[in-house]
Amino acid sequence: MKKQIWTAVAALMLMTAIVIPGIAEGMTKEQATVNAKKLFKEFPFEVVDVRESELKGLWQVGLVLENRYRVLYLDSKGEIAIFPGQETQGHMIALDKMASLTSKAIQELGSIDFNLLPLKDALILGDKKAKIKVAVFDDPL
Amino acid sequence: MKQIIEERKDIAFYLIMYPAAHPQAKDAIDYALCAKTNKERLERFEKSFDKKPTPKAECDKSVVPDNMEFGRKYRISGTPTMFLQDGSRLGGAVEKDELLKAIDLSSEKK
Repeated sequence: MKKQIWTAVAALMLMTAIVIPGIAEGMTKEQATVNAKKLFKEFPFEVVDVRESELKGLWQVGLVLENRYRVLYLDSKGEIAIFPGQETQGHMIALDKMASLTSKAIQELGSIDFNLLPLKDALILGDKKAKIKVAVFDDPL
Repeated sequence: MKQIIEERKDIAFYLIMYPAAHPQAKDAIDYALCAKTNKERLERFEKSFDKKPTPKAECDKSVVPDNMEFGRKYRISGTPTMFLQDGSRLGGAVEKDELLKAIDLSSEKK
């Protein structure tokens, strides 16, 4: 009787082990390849390693690109990529629009309420009544 | 900018004097901005850099320190830096077509 209970407990533990997060939401090389293809398009590459990164929820994908080892980070849903090895180095990229979320964030940091700009003493180039105004901080020299 | 205002009468550029790299331009700017009308200001502005030294400004007030202060506060590190009406920033020289695209996009959003 006692033995049976222990067997049941062991079986339960085994089942639990199978569904621990990370494995349940795991990423295979095939999935990683599909998602990486959104970024690299026709550019040839080969996924050689997939493992969870130190940052939970982010997968570290090792790949060979132009005969070099590179690392790409992907989220489990295949929506976000971070690729430290291109023009937008280390940027977070939304794969559906292929847009850099980092660039957008930087852009937003630099935005200013247009009404705050010191336009009172600006030199006006063009029609004063023009509908569209563009403020230019300019060094005249 | 001159090309754009020729082609697009619905766009005007507001030049905010920001001599970040050339503090010595302050006198010329002050002289130009002392003129009464915008037209006159622009004329003075364009000519003022040909002749040296710049005529003494007839008014006391200078906008340069205020503009510099504003620029420091908002980290405007280089020129030209443009701001569109939706508040978005364009740093550095931008190609004409790219600039027009950004301008139109921002005015649609508004």
